[in-house]
Amino acid sequence: MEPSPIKRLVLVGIGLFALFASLIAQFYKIQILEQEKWKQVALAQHQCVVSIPFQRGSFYSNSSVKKGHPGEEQPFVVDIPKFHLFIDPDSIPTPLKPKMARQLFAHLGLSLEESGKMFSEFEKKSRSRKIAKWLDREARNHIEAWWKGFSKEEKIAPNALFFTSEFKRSYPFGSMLGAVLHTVQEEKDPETGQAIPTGGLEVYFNSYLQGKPGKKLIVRSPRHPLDTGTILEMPENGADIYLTVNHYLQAIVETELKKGVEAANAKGGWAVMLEPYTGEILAIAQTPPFDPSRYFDYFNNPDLVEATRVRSITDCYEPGSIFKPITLAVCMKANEELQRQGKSPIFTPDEKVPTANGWFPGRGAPLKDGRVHPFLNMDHAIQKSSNIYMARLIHRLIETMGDEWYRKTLCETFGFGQKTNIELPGESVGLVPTPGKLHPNGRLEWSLPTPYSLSIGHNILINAVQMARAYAILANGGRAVQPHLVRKIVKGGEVIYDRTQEAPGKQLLNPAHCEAIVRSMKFATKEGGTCKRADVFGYTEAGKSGTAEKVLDGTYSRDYNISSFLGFAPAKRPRFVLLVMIDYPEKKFIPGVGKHQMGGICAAPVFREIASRSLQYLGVAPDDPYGYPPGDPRRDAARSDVAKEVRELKELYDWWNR
Amino acid sequence: MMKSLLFRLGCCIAVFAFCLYSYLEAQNRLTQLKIRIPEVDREIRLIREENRRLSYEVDEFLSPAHLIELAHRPEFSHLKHPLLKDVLTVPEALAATPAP
Repeated sequence: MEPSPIKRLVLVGIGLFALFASLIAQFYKIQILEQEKWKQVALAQHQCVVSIPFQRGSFYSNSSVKKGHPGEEQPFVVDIPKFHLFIDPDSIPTPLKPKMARQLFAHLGLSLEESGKMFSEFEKKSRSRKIAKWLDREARNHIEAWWKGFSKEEKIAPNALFFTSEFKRSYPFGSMLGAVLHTVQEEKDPETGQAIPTGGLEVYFNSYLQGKPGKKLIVRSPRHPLDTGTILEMPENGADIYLTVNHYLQAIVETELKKGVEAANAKGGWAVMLEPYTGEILAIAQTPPFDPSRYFDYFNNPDLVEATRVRSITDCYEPGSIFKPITLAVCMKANEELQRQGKSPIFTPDEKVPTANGWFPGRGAPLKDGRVHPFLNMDHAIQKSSNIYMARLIHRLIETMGDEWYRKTLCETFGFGQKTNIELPGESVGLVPTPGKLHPNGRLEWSLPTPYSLSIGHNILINAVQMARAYAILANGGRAVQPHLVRKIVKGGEVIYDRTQEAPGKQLLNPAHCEAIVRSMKFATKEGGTCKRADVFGYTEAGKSGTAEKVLDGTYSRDYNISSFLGFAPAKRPRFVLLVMIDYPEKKFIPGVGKHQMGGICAAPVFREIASRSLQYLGVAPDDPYGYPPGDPRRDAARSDVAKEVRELKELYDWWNR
Repeated sequence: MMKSLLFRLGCCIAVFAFCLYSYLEAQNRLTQLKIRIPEVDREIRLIREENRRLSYEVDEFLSPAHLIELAHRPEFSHLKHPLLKDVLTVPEALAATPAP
């Protein structure tokens, strides 16, 4: 018996209801019970999280060198957005690949050879292959305009070609301050996503400069543009570092140093400008320079790699005669100590010291001066750069105070043989010989004649910043200074490190002694001095030139000189101390001028040019308005700075040495 | 009675329709704005990028080395750096005070 149609209908209805109920149950399970799970799966399929690049911290110039007249903020390095071009080979139909590649390479301007190599990227099984890097916005727009039409015409998914953006270190002033700043490598650390610095301040302050990438949620769809999406986390930019270096002073120093090195036909040169009261490094330059934007050229070329070092702190040398004012300061300090002990001083600045005989204990050959001066006082000694005078004073010092006291004063008062702790990696401490200690070749560091050599800046190794600091102590009236490169560090608008208000350092030397030495140094750049070419017209200055022979393979090279001039201007309340070093100047004699390789001939004019331009830039009013060269209408020989004293000094010299 | 009910019902439907229309209109406007967000975001980014690039180019042009080079030209030889004593500095607080 067949079931009645109603019963069948009911059965079908129940069946359908059961099916529908199970469907609803399944919906309930998926939508309600397993909602989170399926939501995650869906999100993973349609959305992805990409990182938003952060900006690495920047370096800024010191815009407050003009007192009471600050300038605008000026970056030394800027992060500029650049673009990398990628293709998605899997979504490009194979028959279209050659055509697309041909047109794309033409837009990129690739050569035939480069195109051949790059085409292999199209044939790889991948969703993302890098085709070009560090493109600018213009290039990107150009390619995008072509791609819009091409992809539409050939029916290729628009996202088969895409760009990613990244910040690139860019240098508006080119190679300026390059060796100090350094740069970061093109490829980032794949694990941390952070830039890899190549040296200099980038390495020293890497932890401050680093930022944190942000996160962005984007919809994974061929038609959805990749540069839109929801920002989950904002990127955190790195801290900005405000340097003590002023960009304009740096440009003056770099420009004039380059000219000086070219004029001297030298191998290179370096210079340091230091604020004598605060220790701020206002400029630090070298020739040949290091261009950070071409860092790989420098690191891959043994001839250029030297330029990647900051030579003012990595290269130590024997300072030569620029050390003589330090010798005087040490002897004056000994005088003070002896007076405290109730003993007589080892010398007085006005004393008539016999300087004809250059024989000193332990020396195989006598010390010599440029010419024989039977008698000199302290002013004469600096003016004529007398080796014998300095050695004579040190002979008396050793006899009264001893070797250890001499060495201790050089190290503790002037900081020789110790790091200056400037914020740069790779500083050399130099060498101050130690009594009783042996050199690697087995010879004693400190022997009987060592103090006489030290008195004239030999047998001691010093870097340029150490030497400039020593003069800063003399220039500021005897106070300790700490050379430094950073004024403040700012992160997210908050100052996290501040060194803009530097407290005066410890009093190391008697201000009266410093004043007497500075007075002597003023004669060196005037008539009768060894470095007249350093006379800064219109301003007062004090300084000393030096010419040292470079030690090559353990012996002094007669042909390889390092010539220098170290001085400051104005002589009273100086705005800067400036050291100029010329490495391996051409050795020749210039009639009417002198030996070209001498510091007073090749380095002194560089000092003059830099000092003159820098003082004008700083807005310092001329303090020697009659101190101009012969022929200049502003000159008044009778009224110029120390003119009278120079005449009196000459008369005394002539009287003593008739 | 029936007329009044129909009238009230009509009013309700009209108000409901108006509200619905307003709601949909607001949604459409919102959608339109949402569609524009990426566009505006892109525009802002491009402007910022361009601003950064132009600042960089200005800095390049105003590089001190270039300025020093320009200063050597005869046409700019009359330009001098001012002496500090010739620069009058007005304190910010005083500058902000209106003149009596």
